[in-house]
Amino acid sequence: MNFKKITILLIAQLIMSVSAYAKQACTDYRQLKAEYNISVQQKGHSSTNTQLILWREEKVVAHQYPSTKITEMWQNINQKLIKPIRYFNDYNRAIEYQPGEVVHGKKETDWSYRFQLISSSMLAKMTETKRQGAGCDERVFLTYKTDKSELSIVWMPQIKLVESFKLDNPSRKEHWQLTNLDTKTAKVDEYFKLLYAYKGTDYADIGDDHTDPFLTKMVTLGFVESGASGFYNDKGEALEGHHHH
Amino acid sequence: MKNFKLSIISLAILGLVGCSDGDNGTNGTDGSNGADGLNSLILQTPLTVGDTNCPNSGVQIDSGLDNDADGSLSDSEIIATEYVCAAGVTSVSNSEILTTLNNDWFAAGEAEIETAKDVWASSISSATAKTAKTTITAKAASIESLRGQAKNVILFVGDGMGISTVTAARILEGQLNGNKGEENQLSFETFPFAGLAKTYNVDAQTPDSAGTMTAMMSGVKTDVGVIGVDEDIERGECSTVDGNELYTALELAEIAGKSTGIISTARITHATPAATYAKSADRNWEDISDIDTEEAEAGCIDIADQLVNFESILEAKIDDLDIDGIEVVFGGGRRHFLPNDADYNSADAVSTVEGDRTDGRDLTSEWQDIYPDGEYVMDQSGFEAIDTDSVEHVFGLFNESHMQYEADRGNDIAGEPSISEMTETAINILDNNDDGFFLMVESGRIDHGHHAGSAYNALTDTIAFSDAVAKAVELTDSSETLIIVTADHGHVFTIAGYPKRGNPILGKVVSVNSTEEATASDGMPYTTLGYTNGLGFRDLGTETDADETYTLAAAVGRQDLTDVDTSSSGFHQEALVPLGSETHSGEDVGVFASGPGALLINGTQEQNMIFHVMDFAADLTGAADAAVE
Repeated sequence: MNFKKITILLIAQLIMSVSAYAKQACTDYRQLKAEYNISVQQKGHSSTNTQLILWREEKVVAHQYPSTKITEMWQNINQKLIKPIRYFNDYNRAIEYQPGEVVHGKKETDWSYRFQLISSSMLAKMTETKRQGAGCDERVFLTYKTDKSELSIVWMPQIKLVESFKLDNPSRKEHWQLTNLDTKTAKVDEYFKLLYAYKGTDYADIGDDHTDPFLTKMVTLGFVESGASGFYNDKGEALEGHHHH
Repeated sequence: MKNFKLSIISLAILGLVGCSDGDNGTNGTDGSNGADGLNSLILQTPLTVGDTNCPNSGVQIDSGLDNDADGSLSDSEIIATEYVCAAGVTSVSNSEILTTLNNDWFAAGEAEIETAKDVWASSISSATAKTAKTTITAKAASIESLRGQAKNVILFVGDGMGISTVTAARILEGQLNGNKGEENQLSFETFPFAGLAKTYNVDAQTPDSAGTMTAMMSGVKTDVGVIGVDEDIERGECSTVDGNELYTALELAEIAGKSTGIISTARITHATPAATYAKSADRNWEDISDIDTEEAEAGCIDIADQLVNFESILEAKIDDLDIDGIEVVFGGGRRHFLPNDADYNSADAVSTVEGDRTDGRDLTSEWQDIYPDGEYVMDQSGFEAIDTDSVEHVFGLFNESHMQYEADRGNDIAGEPSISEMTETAINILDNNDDGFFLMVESGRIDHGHHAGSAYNALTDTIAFSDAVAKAVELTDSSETLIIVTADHGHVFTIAGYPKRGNPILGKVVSVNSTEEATASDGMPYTTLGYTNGLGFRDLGTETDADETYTLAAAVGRQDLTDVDTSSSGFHQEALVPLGSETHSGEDVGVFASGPGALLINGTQEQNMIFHVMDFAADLTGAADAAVE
């Protein structure tokens, strides 16, 4: 069996799949499921590969981390507030946080940052190096360089989605690659419906009931959030995430 | 020197012995003078009161030879030590007695005792009071004469407001007023009667709010986690509710024809307020979506439903009973009353879909149908528009979930009233009934502040709670209104170290006579306040919502606080044992009382005694029985 050929074929199929999808989904980019493979190589460490699934509709975004079985959701409340909810997929339980509060040391104020995986303000700082395709297939190649780091992004402006993200600096190399894109709204609806059926707990109530085995284990379940590309400041430095596992 | 003189005398004697009867010889020449001898010194040292050898003062007398001839008596030269001690004081002069009795502290204390006596005596006839002071039998009779003297009853519950919380809040309030703090008194600490309540649940050494509030409201201790039912209940089994329901003081007051009200800064379906009106096999069944399908299909009624339909549910239990329902309901928790449909979202919803109900029912609308003249309000402006003279029923749900911490109230989207404002409005509505009223006021978020490990939030909410009590005292007549202030349980919250008087209660320990921060054996400073368990240290700056701690992993154990402002609102105290949240504690809580029947609050009592005091003071059971006969 020729693994090399198969790999090339799969990549080609994925590119075609994404490309074909882009043509179809351009009219409604808001509701989709986007799967990413994230590879990270830190200096002195072996490389890691994880998966992130972006689920979104107009006012709700979810980042699903299959490796930790946790899904982070953000709800856009009247275009004014962003409410975080954390779903523990293995336990069918959810913890709801107050909108407008600091979670993981970050106050959610930028909807684009969660909706697109990179904030619009960060995109505006980047330099366009190439543009190809048109309409829904349009892709913009963007870079951002500092003394020590270089960010490279392939951006699909009509879908408002990152196709590829690369970070390269002396201590860390990170690559996000879109591997699958699905706009079958039923799938998104189905996943959100699944999450909404979880038993929810207001975060203020975590201390209320010490007979609840889930809540008593909260402290060891981890406060997990894998990083997204928007986590970098204008020096290319990671602001948070990447290491909470 | 003595030896030298003896030698001379010996020689003289020997000379005498050696002579016979011959002529006297000539006198010998004088010997040379001997060297000066050593001086003997005596040292007297005055001793002050408290000395080990002379507790009442005296003099220490040291004597010895000045061997080194330096004119002073060093320790090594002391041969003997004696003490002359002053006698102890065994009597006081008349002038000293007058000084003791006339000082301001004594006079104030004496006046307070007399006031307390007057409060007690004024609630019974003077003749009875006189008799009661003379014989135990008469005392019992006089106490019985107090039954039913309280026209109104107000029960204030500071959720989680243990003894250390009261102490720390009192100090913080005093310091916020520019004083040292320790001398301050919260409003309810000036009440004439106080005692302790044992808080354990039937099946728990350290209790929860459901079991403790059921004890206070129904007079029977029960299991942890259940509402308004006795210990025969099986938690989570709805079918076991039947036959184990308990009547509450609020229900008895309602049957007796009094007006009734419930206030909570938590969700109004939360354990503490729920125990005033609901019967539930699980405190978490706040709406239908919280109940298992099987239980729901078996007819299990959620807590929100029980509140809105309180009147018909209670009437169905007693033949021919006709009541007018709970007049005042103020709190949070809209989510449990609205359907899971964005179309029903309120103006200040904080979720894309505010309501949780999966049965499609809008209970706020149903409440309005039951009370067409009643007012449903959900924000500060609606609250302020309430006409307390004319409104008969009011239903205020000011938040999707719990109301805000007092320190965080300014951040609410649509605005919400303080606990003091809610208390004032409630009393102004309830006192329209000439037959009196029963009101329960809960400060639910003291408990949440502690669970989150934030002394700042817990204490500022306690101070707001104290203000609400003061407002109730101001608006009611103490001769006809029994006010009881207590907590359902405490927290593992400590006041530790040896900080000096007036040291900022939220600060780091500075020892007596010092200006520098004290350090522990690890060389780092430490705070006066701390927790035994929980998520531990946070330095969240000016954050005023304690619950943010739940977004981070535990950080227990010692932290370097050298550069941390521990008095800031966002500081969370260190904790020892890592837990997902800080826990309740099992020690007794304080109970403070004023008004008719308040004298029954004393000593250390079981927590369910509080119900019986209220029941006795207002004769709730007697009046309710009379109403249904």
